[in-house]
Amino acid sequence: MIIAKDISLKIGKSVILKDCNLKIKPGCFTVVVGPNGAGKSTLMKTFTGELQRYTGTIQINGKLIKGYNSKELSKIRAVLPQHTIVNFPFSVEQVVEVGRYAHRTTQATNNKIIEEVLALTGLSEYRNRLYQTLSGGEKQRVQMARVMTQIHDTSQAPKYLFLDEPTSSLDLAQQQSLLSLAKDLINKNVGVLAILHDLNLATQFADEILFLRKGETIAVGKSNEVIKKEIIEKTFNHPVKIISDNGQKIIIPDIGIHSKSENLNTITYGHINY
Amino acid sequence: MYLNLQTIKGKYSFAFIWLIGLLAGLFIISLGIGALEITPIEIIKIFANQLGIYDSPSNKTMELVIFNIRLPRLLFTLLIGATLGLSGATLQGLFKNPLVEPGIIGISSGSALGAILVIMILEKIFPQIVEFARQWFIPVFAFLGGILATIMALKISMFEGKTKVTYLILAGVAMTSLASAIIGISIFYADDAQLRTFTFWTLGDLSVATWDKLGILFPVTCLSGIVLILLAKPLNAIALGEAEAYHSGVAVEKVKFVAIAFSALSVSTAVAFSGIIGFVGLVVPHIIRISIKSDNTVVLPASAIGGACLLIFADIFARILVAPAELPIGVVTALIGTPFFIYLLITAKKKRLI
Repeated sequence: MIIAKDISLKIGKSVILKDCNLKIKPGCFTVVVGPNGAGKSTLMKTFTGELQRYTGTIQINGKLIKGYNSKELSKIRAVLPQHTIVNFPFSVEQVVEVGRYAHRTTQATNNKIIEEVLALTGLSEYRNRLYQTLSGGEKQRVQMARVMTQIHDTSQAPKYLFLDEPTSSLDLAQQQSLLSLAKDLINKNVGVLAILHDLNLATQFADEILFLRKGETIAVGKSNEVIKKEIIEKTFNHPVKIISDNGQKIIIPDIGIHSKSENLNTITYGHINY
Repeated sequence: MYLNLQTIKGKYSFAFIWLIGLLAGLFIISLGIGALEITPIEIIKIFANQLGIYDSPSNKTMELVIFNIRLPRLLFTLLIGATLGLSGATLQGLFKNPLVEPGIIGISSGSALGAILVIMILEKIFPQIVEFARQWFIPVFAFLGGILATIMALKISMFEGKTKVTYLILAGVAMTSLASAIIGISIFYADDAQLRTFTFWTLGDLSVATWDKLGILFPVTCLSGIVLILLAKPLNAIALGEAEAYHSGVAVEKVKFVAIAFSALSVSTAVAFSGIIGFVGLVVPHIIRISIKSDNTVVLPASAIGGACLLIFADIFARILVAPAELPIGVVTALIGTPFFIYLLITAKKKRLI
């Protein structure tokens, strides 16, 4: 389990995160939602080990995250970025193979794992294709295959997968198939943390949801307990309607009323490249 | 090396055999060509004789020519070509930029600055040591200049303990401009002889090879070569992005520092002795990527061998085209390499490799 306690972070005078508490459990799909600039990506970076200047503590599997080195960390957690550009003509296989970098396994084992994951992601036929020639959706699936090979392991230790707005450039069907792949992983002792912009995708896939606004937690808890009109409106500062279709909640923005947009020049902290 | 050889897959070992064969062929041709023609059979005999494997009366003149003149020059060329190809490939991989060559972080211009300072100032103050200065002061100062420029560029680009690649390249460009400004001033005050010395230095010169210099060049090149080739796997991860590489378990900052430090070390040493030889570091890695594969476990070692081949090939031309004089090596590498590179670019475009 990953346990984050009172995570706070300031850059200069602006507060990016304030007393954030979150648990990421193996076998659980946790989603973070919030408006642009809420600190979602920053929060994720503290969990992945990229950002270390925060106050508070983060424990992974009972040990402080600062006590892991990058190699140890990469064996228990993988990160799927929004999109990945590869400047050299790498084949799909080569890209996926990077996932095995930290593992001291033989080439034969790696090949077997890569083959397995490629089959799982429906990419078996793409193995020798050049990454650069693929479509956006195919590229993202290759990256998904890469992170899956990274946390593919026979050891019993719980693994974690972080997805940073993984579906932002995907079409409807691809969004579903990518998130389903992640959802399937939770049965293999993996805890998933995803940042999603689409509230309906969040409702559909999340077991637990964290609502974040300006670095502050608005609500956190079981999906069906926190998907509420007031919470969503408070988080996004926009009126919404929740309608129910065969028991599935659907969230739509209420376009009848325009909320007062409080600050047009919101600064985004989500894309600082550390 | 073990790590990398293990991962080179079957079909690519063929490419390596081909490259090494090419290198061996060029090696023999290069030893044989010159004012005194020596046939390949003679060459093999002379080597066998020297090693004591095969005893035959061999030609003393030929032996002298090979061991005192051609062999040191050939090894010199081989090591410099390999260094340039390998560091070019490493830095392109590290910066994920196909336009990078070892000069980009300021190595070459820093070295050039060191060289011209010796030519302009030291030789003027101590005219009695001109010969010695050309032999040893130019290399030493060129080396210091190259290393210093790289350290400055690295310092400028450090940000919270991390090296920002964009800043590093910009800092390298800044170092280059500063160096060329100072070089410009020096050239303004230079007399004809100094100008000539400097110009020829910037075009590269392999005729300065001696066994003493090889004694320095060889260990530096081998050490950096081994270290850089071991970076192949982390560089493959870095090709996906620095954040992605970190997530995959690569100690990105360490890799970056080692790659830059050892490239700077080996290239400054090479440039210090031979002058600036452009083109090899930029183009050889591309040739390898286009014609073999862009996996760094293949590209790095193959670029080293390919760089050596190209430079030896160019050196053969440089020696025979205007014999008994010699063309500057930098000119010949570009002259021979460019048409081949353009041909590859056109075919690669058709295959959509770039």
